[in-house]
Amino acid sequence: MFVRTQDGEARGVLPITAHPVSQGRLCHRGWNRFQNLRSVNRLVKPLVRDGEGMKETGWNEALKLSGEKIKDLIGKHGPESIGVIGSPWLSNEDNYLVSLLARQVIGTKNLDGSYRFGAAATLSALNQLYGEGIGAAGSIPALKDSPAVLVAGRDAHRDFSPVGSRIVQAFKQGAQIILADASTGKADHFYKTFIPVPADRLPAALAAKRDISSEVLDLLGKPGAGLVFVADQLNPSASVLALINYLIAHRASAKDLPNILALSRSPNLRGAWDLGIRPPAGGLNLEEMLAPESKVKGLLVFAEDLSVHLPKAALLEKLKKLDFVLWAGRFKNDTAQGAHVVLPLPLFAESEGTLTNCEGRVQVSRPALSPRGECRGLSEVLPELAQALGKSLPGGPAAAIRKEIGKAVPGYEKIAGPEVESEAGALLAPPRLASAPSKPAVLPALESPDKFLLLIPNTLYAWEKNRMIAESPVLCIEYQAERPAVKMNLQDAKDLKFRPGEKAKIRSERGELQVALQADEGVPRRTLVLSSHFLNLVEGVAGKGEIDPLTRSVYFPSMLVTVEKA
Amino acid sequence: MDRYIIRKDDLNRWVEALARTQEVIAPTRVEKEIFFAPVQTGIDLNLLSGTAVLPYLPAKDLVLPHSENLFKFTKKGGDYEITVPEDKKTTVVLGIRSCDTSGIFWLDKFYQENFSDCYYWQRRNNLTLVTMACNQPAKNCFCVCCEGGPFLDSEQGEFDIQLVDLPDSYLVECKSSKGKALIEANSKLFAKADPSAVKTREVLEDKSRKSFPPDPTSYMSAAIRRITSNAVTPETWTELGEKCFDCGGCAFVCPCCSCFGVGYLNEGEQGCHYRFWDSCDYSGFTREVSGHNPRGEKGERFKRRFFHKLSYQYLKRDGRIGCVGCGRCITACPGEVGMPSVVERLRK
Amino acid sequence: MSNIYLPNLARIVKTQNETYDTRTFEFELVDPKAKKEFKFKPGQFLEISALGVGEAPFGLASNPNRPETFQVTIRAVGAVTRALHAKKPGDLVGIRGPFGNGFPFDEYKGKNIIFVGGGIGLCPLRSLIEPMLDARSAFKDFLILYGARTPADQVYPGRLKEWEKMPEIRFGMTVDVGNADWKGNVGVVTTLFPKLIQTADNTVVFVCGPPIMIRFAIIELSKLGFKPENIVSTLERYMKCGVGKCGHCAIGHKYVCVDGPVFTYKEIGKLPEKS
Repeated sequence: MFVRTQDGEARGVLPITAHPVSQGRLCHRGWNRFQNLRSVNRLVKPLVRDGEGMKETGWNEALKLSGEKIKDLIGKHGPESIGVIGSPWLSNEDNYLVSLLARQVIGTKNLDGSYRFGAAATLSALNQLYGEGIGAAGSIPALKDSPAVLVAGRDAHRDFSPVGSRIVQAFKQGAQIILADASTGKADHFYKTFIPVPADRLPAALAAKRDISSEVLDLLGKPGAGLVFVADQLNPSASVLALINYLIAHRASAKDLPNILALSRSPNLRGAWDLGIRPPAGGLNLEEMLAPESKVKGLLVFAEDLSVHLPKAALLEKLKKLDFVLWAGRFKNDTAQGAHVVLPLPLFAESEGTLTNCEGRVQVSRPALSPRGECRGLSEVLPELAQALGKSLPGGPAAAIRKEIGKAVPGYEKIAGPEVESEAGALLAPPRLASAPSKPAVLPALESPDKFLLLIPNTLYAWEKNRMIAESPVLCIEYQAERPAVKMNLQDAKDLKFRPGEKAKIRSERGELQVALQADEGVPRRTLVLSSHFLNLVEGVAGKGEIDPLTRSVYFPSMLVTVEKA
Repeated sequence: MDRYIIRKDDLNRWVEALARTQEVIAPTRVEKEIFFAPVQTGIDLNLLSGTAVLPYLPAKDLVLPHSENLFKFTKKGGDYEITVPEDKKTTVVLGIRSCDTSGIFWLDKFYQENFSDCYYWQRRNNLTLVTMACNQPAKNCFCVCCEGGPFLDSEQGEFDIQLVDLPDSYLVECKSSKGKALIEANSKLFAKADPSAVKTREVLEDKSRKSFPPDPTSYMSAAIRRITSNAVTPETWTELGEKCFDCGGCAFVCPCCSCFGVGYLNEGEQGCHYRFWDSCDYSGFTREVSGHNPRGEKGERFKRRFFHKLSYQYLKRDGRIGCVGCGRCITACPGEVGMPSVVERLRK
Repeated sequence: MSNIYLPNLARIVKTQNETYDTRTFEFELVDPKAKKEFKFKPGQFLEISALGVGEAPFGLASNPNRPETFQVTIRAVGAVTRALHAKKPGDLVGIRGPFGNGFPFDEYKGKNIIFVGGGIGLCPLRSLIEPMLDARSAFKDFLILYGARTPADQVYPGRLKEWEKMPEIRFGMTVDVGNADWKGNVGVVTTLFPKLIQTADNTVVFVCGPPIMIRFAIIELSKLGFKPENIVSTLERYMKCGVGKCGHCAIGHKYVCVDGPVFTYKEIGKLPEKS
């Protein structure tokens, strides 16, 4: 995609028809991508805390102060008192430097990405499966020729149009398109098979051939069969692993791996993970760093607004308890409010860097605009910060950092070559299986005639808070903020004589909750849907949730509940 | 209408001469893509042949760009100072195809109705269109079904200049005073056309019309009838709408789509109001602040788009259907529900 | 060429709180020439902008016979309306318009007149009620019916009291939910119909309010024998440009901002989608 500019302002975009993924087709975020480049809510100068507010300062002062604070904390409490948070909203080059900053310069194992609350489950599962690197685990163009595609979660095709486009093309060619989703009552017409079960129960449902015929299952075992899901939403890692393992165990030929496309709402999820933005053995993850008893006293947060993942009040509370918060980012937001030092970064469209997409394709993004105000890229800033800490980091142009990455990161050799700069970018090598497929665990049946099934989908990544959305006059209307309410089927609400907005009392074995009821035609009968984003509400009925042993983060399994008028 | 001949070798000379006094825009290859872009000299004659070449975006972009500032303001004490951007350059578009020309003349009518849209007209008044007739349509073309091409009618058609790629020269048909000015300023390059050239033009047009693949879009009139009489069932609209990804691409690449939204920026004492392409595919297009949305359903929105394009009510108002058959929506649509596939589905 | 997208600056002369979230603003244009030339018809609307924040359409709510200053009533629901509510007398806003067809005032002369207003829906009707009262003798029976959710949700409470006392008009008022101080009718506005509507003959009825109120009002009016061509309403749509260009307010081949916002139910019935 090109960004078109006039008088130094972004004025439009142009798709690239020759691109093997987009083929000249964009989603609505792509078409309106230029609007947020004109945002007036940008950070343009370094800021430092001044009492309750923030005041502008120079880069030297901001970096010097950060260096002193970090050194001070290391001196008093050791390097493990510092936590570092990288981001899927940073390029591979920047994430590589952030990872080096943590591991080599500061010497802390407390390194993680903001995706801990969502996509870490998928990434950890893939990592377990393909030990040496996830590589090119899928192919978007090849999806078109799939004999069958299993889509887990109904948003997957429409929200990611290059993938959705291939699904429609595959449908036209006669492929079996299968939708698995418990939170919707009806699938679009090109889904030939609809499996209305929650993701955590999907592998068991496939194994039991519930809602799906053996012929369709056989097609899913054929070479080229696809699995598409939104990584940010699928939890816990055991169910991701079981799902993929089921497909692998079921395949017709031992040499083919299924075409796995784990989509994400953030642009460089795979790149951030691959370049080491995750805790090494013995390190704390983001949730653990923010926990009340955590030893982390200083947090360095790069590029992402954590409030996109955590409700605002809870976040500010947690940040307040820290002795030092450095936030390097692009927009004025809640994380910036809780920081002691704020550093302004350029947008993707204002700097050069590579991104890795969900199929393992590494591509260069080149600047279309000059950085706003005093924004500076991390490849300049982090070496200076390292210097302030008495250490050094490689810096310089993006291409030079790519050479370093090519040498240091297994599987990323191609990033240093010319192919990355081509229109199509460079595909990483296909992965190899590291572990033998496991059998899906059999979960106890979740059925009871007088109870409702409560689904708590992981929507912690809230689109409407994303600046790309919020700063566009089109997209901010497209993505409406969700209301703190539990959704129930319209007919069920009528049967129980609920008036619009009336409160319901929801009771489970773990707790009880009173919440406004929202009648929704799309929700299946005898089902309730409550977004995990409303953590306070969720914890009322689901308690503290469960810990995913692989990611060590919280998730909320589906459960049976009773509903009555409050 | 006047007819001339220009030798193929002289076309570049003409462009060079024109580019000395005004901006000349022609289809240009950038990497593997083709865009309308300013040219000075040495234009790519392969993109100016009888074979249809359609840049990704229609020439609409030159009169109604993806986004443009309406005005900027500065707060001065209790008052505001408001400035409007001006665009005074004169431009010639060379190698625009008949579908895009038809689209621009269609937009002209729309932007004249009720009042004159000054942002549109300050660009449009300074724009001269040199259309290239298509001896050979491209893969997605269906202009022949929509009266959008492949040639503009010498007598009835609206254009400034139309070029026809003859075997050893270009036939130049000139219809407007704007077109005439471009020829008269370089009259040495042009000779009067003889009847044989006109004869060849007719043969070429006939051949071109016959070279369109037999296509479902010849069922256009059936689709118009069914949409007008509300005979298409809501289920059909929903089925089509389910394949629509709400990306807006079809509207943006359509030479006839003109809907826009307005954005507002405010930074300290300064700000700007700007307009940008909008699309009736978007669920937010009609959503009101209260949350009420008269077209919240996908099928309803899909129906809206095709009602505007193909209903007799609009055809009567605008004099033509809102489609010129350029086929760009086929390229842009991720859900494979561009105009031809919809028309094919609707006629049944 | 005049630039229809360029706002005229207008100053807030005064503001009046109507309900907890609704306020009436009185404006005058800053430019003396524009002020002198400013005229509007009942039922027309303005595009009002808080510069740099946004612009939205608002029905004119004051008497077109006195256009030197003009009023709109604004409920704070979104970013634009909240920004406008933050403004004080003396502050400037951008004004474009008036736009829309307006009510064809002269066509109603010699007829019985009924107004049915719900909540904030009374505002655009007021731009017709006031000039009709100025020319009261041109019309026959004159009935105003007004319903609000609660007494606190009533707009123009002062003016309502005046109307209630005027001998030359008949007036009925109700609330969906009363309170301790409320001595009047309780119930939806349609409950006033049997008591106060006398005839459908030679009568035109103007209906404006929330969609659900309009729906039930139309059903009841039809039962009383009103023909769709004698039921007039104003349609609401998300209008951006006000001049039939941006496309947001199109219904079928009509543009609410140019062909409306005033439509009879006969016209509305012909539109190819639900309104």
